[in-house]
Amino acid sequence: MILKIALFWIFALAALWGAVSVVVAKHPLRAALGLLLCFFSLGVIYIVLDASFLGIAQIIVYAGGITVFILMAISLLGLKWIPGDRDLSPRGFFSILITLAALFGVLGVLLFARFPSNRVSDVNAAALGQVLLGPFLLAFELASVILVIGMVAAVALTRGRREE
Amino acid sequence: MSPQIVIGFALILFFIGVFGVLFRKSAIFTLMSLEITLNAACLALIGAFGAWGSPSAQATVALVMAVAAAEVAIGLALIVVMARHEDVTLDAFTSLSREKEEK
Repeated sequence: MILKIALFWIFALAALWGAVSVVVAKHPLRAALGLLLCFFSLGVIYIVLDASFLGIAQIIVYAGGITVFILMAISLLGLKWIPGDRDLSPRGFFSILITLAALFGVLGVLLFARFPSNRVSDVNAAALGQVLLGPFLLAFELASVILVIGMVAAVALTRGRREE
Repeated sequence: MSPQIVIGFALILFFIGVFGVLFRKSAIFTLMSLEITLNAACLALIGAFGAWGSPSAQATVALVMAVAAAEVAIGLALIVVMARHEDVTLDAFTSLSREKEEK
């Protein structure tokens, strides 16, 4: 139990560090590596919180797939630091105020929330499959449709214009 | 681990992502900040799983992962289109149509 709590806090700090470095980084590659740290730490946190299948899926899909995808896009397009990327106008400072106000508002609500305490055991892949192919069957099929639409849209958007 | 702590941590992560969306102008940073907010929402669902213990929460997280993959594919495709116009800030890019391209 003490090991779980220690792991949670260590990787929670790592995830926060990664997230903050995404927001403040100058070069997009640094931001993508911060994102990798954030995703990997969240995967470990999922495993600590009794969601071992999703933790592994998080590391494979996000850390292994999406981050590499973003890194490839940054390298291929040669994206770099744009002067004035950080919004230091009054609008930018307003965004800081709005974010902090919303954060403390919702955290205040959370302080008074009541949660039930049920006995939780780890959900393995078989139990997850029972739920996904049982009550969540329609959502599961729709997710596959959304993936196909996303794939077709990505190809259609990036394809060069046809010569006429 | 108490669900309050997990959901509180997810909230902090979520608002870091929201702040990134509002604060940065470059489209790639906005996309990465959006990914952080999606992951924070997943973490909040896992925290709720810790309280209620129903596997539905984990099934929802699996569906969110599938939708996030499609979202990243379309987002990066849009960034490729923007890079072709040699401006990858969100302020300058308002149109996908052809009239804009001919300018």
